[in-house]
Amino acid sequence: METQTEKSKSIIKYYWQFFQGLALCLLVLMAFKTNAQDIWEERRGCIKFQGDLAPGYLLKQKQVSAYVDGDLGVFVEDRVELTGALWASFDLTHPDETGIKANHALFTGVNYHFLKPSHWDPFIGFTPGVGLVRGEYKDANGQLVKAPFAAAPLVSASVGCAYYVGWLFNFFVKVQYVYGQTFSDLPVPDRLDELKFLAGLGFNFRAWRPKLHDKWKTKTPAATSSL
Amino acid sequence: MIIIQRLLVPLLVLCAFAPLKAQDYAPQGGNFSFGVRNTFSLFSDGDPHGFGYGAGAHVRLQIIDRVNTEWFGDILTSSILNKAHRTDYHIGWSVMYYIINPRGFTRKFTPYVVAGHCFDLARIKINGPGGALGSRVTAAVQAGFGCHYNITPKFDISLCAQYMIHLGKEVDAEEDPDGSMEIVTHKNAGWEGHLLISLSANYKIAQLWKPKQKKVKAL
Repeated sequence: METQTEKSKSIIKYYWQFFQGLALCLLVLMAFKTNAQDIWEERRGCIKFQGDLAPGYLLKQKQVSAYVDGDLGVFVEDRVELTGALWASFDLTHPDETGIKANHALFTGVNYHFLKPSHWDPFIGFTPGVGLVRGEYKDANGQLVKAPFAAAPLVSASVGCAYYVGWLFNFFVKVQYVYGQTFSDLPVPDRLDELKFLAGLGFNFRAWRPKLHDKWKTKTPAATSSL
Repeated sequence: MIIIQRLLVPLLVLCAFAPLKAQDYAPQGGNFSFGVRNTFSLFSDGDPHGFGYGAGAHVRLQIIDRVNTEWFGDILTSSILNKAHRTDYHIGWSVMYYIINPRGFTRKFTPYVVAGHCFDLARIKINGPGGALGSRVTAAVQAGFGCHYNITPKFDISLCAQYMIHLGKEVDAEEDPDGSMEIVTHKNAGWEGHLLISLSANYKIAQLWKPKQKKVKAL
């Protein structure tokens, strides 16, 4: 029977190979001067979306987790992106183990992009969320019991970087930190503190053309009042 | 308290007269913004060392340059001695008064005082299956200070600290000498409440109405 540690190791190995492959693709694209392709000079009005199989690491449980994730972002300014993400979890724990069996989440918030529109696009995000979590515990008779699903407010922040290879595609990496806990019927609350990792191919396209050009630096009108 | 009064009152009086100067910025009345937030709860009754946190959202509707309103909803959870937990559902509104002229939010920092009212549903449950459950619905009032950090005139990060006082009966989980927990209800609990610190990201989506720009002669 495959133990939890072996399963975690094989998942980590799989994702490491995936990251290596992604890095190789990125290098190949850069070597072929893909930056000669057109990218959006103004991000305002663009929509970005991506779907992924994503790993996570539950910090308290020291356990690998896995998700299918969908992200959507709308650039309302060149530097500001309103974003939302939906995460659905897979149960990687052994059927005989207690712990978190389902850890779905919805995040909404804002990403702030540091640089002018260019190929490289590093960003940070503030995305509070709500989790829909189910844990499993052992009752007084030692029987495994699944607790009902419970909502859990989540504190979350992320950091990431995209590389635009054209008007339609981007490669991206993102790390998201999540802080939370679940109670439900569990005898002892379970922590949901986690690092989630995202990487892959994203899509971006223009949804509308801004009427007013979004100046990169907003000029401050001459101040006249002291307070 | 006297020190706070001596510092705060002159500052507020000074700020109240500050707008009587020529205005070079577009009027901000009518701004409608959307924000998401994480709220941290400290000094809750039941477990003063307990630390709760939650997530929520709000919309803001600005009335005039210096006065904004915030309409919010939050869910907060906190652990009580690791033996029980409390869930608070807040829905309410606040009025924000900008201490200094926001100048069309072109300033980097915009401090404000805030006060408001909300409805609070608190549910306390002893941990474990079939644990005792107590709940109550009350009104609450809250007041405090905050500050916007305006990354762009339309986009800000806000940090706000408010003390919220629940009006009405109090529900609480108390530890018995044998270590077990029980739910207790106190009538007219008085000043029971908690300190709430909110961190939010906000974006001004639209200006619902365009206020007329008034030219006020400088004093």
